[in-house]
Amino acid sequence: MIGVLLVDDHPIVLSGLAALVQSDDGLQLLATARSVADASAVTTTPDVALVDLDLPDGDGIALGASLKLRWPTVRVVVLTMHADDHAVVRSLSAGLDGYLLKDSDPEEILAAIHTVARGTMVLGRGATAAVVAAAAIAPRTDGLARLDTRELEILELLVQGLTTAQAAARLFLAPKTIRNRVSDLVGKLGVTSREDAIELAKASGIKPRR
Amino acid sequence: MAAIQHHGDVSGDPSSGTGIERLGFPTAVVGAALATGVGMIPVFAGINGNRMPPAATVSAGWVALGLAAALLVDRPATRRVGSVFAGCAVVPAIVGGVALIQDRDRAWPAFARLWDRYGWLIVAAALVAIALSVDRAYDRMSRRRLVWLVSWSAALFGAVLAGRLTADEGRAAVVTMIALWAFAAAATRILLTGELRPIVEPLVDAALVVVAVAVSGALGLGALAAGRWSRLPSPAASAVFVAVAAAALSWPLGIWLRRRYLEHRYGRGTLTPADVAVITEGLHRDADPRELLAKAAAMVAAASGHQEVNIVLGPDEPDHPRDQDGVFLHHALVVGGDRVGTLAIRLEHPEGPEQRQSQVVTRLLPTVSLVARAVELAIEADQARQDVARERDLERSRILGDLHDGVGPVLAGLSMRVQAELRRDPTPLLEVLGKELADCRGDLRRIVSGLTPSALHDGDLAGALARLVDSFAGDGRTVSLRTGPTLGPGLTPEVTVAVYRCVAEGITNALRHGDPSQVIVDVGIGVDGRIEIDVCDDGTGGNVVPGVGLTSLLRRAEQLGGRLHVEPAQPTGVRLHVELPVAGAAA
Repeated sequence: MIGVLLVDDHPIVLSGLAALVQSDDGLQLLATARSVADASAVTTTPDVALVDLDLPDGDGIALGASLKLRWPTVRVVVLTMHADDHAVVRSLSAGLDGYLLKDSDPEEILAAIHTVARGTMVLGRGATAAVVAAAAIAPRTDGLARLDTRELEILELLVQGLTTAQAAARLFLAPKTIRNRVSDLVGKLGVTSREDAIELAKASGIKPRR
Repeated sequence: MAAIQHHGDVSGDPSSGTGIERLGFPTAVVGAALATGVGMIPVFAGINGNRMPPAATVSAGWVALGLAAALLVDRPATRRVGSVFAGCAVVPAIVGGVALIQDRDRAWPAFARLWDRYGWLIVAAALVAIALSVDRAYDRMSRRRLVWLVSWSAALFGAVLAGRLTADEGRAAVVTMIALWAFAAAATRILLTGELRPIVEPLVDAALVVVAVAVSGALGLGALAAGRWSRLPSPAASAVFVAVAAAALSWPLGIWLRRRYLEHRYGRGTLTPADVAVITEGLHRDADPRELLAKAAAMVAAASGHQEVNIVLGPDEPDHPRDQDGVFLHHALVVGGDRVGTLAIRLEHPEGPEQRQSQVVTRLLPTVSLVARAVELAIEADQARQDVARERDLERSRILGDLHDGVGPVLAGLSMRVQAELRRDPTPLLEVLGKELADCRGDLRRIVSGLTPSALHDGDLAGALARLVDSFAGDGRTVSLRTGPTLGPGLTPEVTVAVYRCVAEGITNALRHGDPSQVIVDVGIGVDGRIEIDVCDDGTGGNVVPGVGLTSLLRRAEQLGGRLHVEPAQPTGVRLHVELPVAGAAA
């Protein structure tokens, strides 16, 4: 019998998960929790914990890590709507045992619980589709989204390695105008210098449009 | 790093003048007239019946300088040289006075002797005095004025000397008089005119004339020799005819050469219809309106004879970096009181452009301002359009994100509940519910992935399409993708997104309506360079009524200058065919 702890703040998801776990003879639902605080109050040692990524009072990955600290034998799987590269890497480097999408087929979730209980790591099957969907709706969190077109235009030229004077000549603007706009965009990006802005733009993969 | 702000023409200080002058009584002019009158005394004294002795003739030449003085002394800029001219007008009287002192009884012969002996020296002294009195400010026109004056002085002095050395006393006197009058007229014009050409220009003219005359003469001589050799009846007449014809023919050639030379120096002076045609040439085609600025600048350069002219947009004064040596003259481009830009002209000469070049630029400024404003508006409109498009994409991402985060968990939770029930107590209803919930989850995924361009943030269209197609596979159906090798680079973001959405919507449609076992997606560049997208399924086919998805796709394709149509496939199924231009909309 595998004892399961469920942590999710979404009531429908939580009840669904609970029903799913209870429907499986090999699994035993030990406790459900809707927040980090609830989960910390659980006293029985679970074999597997399914933890949501975003909880009202904290981060699922941190909670998972603390659960593992408390019960070294527990297997923790992150269960989330978002297939986020960074979150996957963060979960695994925090020593957690799996990363599943709520969107997965329910049978797949059950299978994953059994798999992880045997000591194998699980990463959601069919994640490709979810990755596409998740990547699709991920808003551009970088500051570039805050820039308008004329600022992006200048930033692109700077990324190409043009000097202020060259960018000015290319855009038929005065170098002073370019300097003003660069200082605007540096402010919007929340960095301190033009070089930082260029680094940031390169990091977010800005590319010349034409 | 230098720039000059153009302030327009600075008009000369208005003459302050003395009290009397303000009453309309120009004392300087009266003085010049009096000097002229005094200078006339020896002339009148010398007239003997209807004969005029050489000394009187020479004296009459100096009178011309007095008349010139009357014109010159009235202006602040030429007051000093005018006074010297007036002084020159009195020279005959002074010489007469000296003659009287020398020999009171035979004054007239003494006067004539003085002129004959020292006339050339007096002329030289007067010319030196005039040259020294000319304003020698260090600007181009003053320098040119001096050069012209000295050249004319040299001509005058040369004529006087030549007359004295080669002719008798009477003729030499006439030559001197005519030379003095000509000098007075030329000097007045040189000193009073606002713009003077460099002295090389008339030299070029003269050189052209000399060459034309020499060539015509040589041809005439050749014709003469040939006529004599072939014993023509009148070789001289033929020779003259040949020479005249050659001279007449060389005339237009000379004019053309002269015009080319002046164009090279000062530009064409105006915009020709051909220039306008060049400027407006790619107006319908060029994507970047800024190219218009480069062309307009080039045209200003051609019309005004400058080597480098730049147009800079915006109210900021352009500063020129150190590596751009040279001095730039800035003209503000103003429309409706707002500074829309700057016309920067690199000065070839530190003293600025020639006056006529400035006039051309000034004449073209309003037009250039309007061009700059139009280009600025076009750029602003384009940027606003892109801003709106990006805002729209961001907003769409947010909405879809909310949809995904809000509805997604509910569907997931319900699916789990149904599945749990299904495991305990399978009924047909639960099975159907389970399947429909799974479909719902798939639909949600597709809506979210198909409608957002963010999957294309890294610009890898082929990769994004492969992931998209993968997400549709399953449930016993295959969805395959074939992309051409040329797909990817060179596509604008708009077209990339359109291709992605066409494929997403095409597959969604095929799966929704046709229940196919196989969907084949083919994306590539056609023979005519357009992108061709085919989505074929082997489903039930039938008459496809365009829904929201297809209609919006059709609109998008048309916006980009492409087309879309849906037709039955063989043996069954539907084929969606979309063509898009690589570069996006043409108009």
